[in-house]
Amino acid sequence: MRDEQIIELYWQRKETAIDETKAKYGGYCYTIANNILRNHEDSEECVGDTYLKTWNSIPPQKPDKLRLFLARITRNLAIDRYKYRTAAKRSGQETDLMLDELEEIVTSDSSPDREIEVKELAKSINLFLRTLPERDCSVFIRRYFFAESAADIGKRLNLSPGNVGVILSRVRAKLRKHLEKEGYIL
Amino acid sequence: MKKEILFEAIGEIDDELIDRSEKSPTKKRGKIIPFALAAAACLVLICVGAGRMISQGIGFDFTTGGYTQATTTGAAPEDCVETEEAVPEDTPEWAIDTGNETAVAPTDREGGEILRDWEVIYNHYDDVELLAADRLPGFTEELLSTEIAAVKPDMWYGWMDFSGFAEFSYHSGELCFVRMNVTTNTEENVVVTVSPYEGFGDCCVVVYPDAEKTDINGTEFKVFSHYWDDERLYLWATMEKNGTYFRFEHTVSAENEAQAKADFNAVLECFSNYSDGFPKLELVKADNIPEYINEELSHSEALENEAFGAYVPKEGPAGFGETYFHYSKWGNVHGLNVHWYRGLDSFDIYISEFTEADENRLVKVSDTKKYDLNLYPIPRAESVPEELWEVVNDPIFEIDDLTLEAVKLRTYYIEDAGDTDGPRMDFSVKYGDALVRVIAKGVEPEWVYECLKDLG
Repeated sequence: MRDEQIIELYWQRKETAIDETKAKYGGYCYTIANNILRNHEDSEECVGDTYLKTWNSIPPQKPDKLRLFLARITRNLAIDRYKYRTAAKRSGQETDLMLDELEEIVTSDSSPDREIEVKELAKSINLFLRTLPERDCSVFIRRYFFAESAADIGKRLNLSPGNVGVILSRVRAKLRKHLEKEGYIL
Repeated sequence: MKKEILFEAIGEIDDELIDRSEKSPTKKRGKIIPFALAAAACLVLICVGAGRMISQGIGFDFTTGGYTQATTTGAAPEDCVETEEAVPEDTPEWAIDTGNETAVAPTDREGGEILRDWEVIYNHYDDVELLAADRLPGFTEELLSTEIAAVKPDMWYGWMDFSGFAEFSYHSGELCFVRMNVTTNTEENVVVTVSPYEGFGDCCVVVYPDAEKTDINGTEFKVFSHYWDDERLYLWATMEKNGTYFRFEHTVSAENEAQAKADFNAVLECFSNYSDGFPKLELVKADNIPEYINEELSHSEALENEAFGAYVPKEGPAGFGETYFHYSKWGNVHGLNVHWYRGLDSFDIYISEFTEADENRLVKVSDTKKYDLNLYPIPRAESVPEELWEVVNDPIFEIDDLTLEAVKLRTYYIEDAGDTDGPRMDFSVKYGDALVRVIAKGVEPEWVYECLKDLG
């Protein structure tokens, strides 16, 4: 079924919308959740939460790309679940490593107005990503949006995990400089 | 800003960018086709492993929403360039992707034996000789993307980026060499120098003729290694291909030896792959050829030189009948040489522009420790403090500050049976934007002082 048809089902408040979403994107959402959570039960629950949140979001929303709409919801739910599960403990898991890598770019101070900060920062990151070669941009997004491991990214793009690591390290350094220049970090 | 905020913000990346990352070609092992081969339009290069199909394992295909198992069929891995040219039918199978995962002898993804019939032989030398350049430097220009494409080999790996410059002769504007930086898996690049001439380039380490050779895909290399101070590993290699001469250099921290050699081997492997007629060095051309002048002048012509004529003495020391005046210009750098001779005695002046690089050598007459040679007995390499070497060697005085006493303090005397006895001196004087260097043998300091005061 085409995405437009699935979205129409949501708008008509037909529960088959969820069945169709599950059929088309269930595996997709599961992979994103599992990249972050690394746990089957948690990932299954996260995907279930994704359908619920999607049902509650459409309408009023009418996403242009259903796949990416679902990806964002799943990703955000997964990271919330991950933080809840691990609290302050470090598990040494892949997600901890991924978040630690992001710490190279930022400091520990936070702004009081989180929502605005996130939106403004997102704009700046989008600008930055558009300056990168396509390969480097893809590697960055796969790592920090989809939370894929370096090994998985390497397999997909025919790079060794070491190559992926080098690319990520360089992009993080460039992003840091970009954010310093833009005034997001000192 | 906390990392969590950054993570959230990354969640707001534009759909278009995420879409594009999902549509990035899934890498499959395939055939590497020399990109420069002419044929009908086609969009991809294909990489092959020497006749073997290598399974890539299971992955999620974000475009179809299902799980897939990739096999080698040929797609557009990022190792290879997308080109408008087709894949010829008789394209030979070349090398395979080393992966460089372990930074030791490369294996394929299955951990199996590498399908190569060559192994790089490193001729190791504990001591090496350096060759100094015996040529005039040229002018350089950064390589355009089309020029890089004309000089790049037919294969490269995904981690290799190419950039660099070309050096051209001031005299003729002809290409001397291309120097490319190839990125690696360490923080250091492999530097590849490509030239139509053998024995090109600036100072480099000697290539030992008796070194054992390595044959990579039918191309002969000589490959060497050496440690600088036990901390830095230096790898270098040479080869000749299609009438073009190549030198490869890679300097890394000694602790990265395994990775460095794996990367270096991969670069050599790539550069063993050129189609006939490549590299096309004739396509690397200078956009702007700077002005080049190299001419002998008469005394009167030197006096009339627009840039520096005001600093040419109207006459030389008494009895110094032989003269030589010469003006040279290379791009933005120009200078005028003035010489008077009497046997082994000489009075030399070199006039140029005072630059920022000369600032460090400016001295005040009152600061004698920076120029008084009487303070520093021979050998001066030992008596002069290290931080003063540069300035004591060639101090620069402002003309308005210069005194006869200062000139005398720069004068020393030699009794040399094989050369002229008498006073010698070596220092410079600044006249506004002009710099006049004086080197004199057999000329009294009083004469030199009066001469300098009359200039400008």
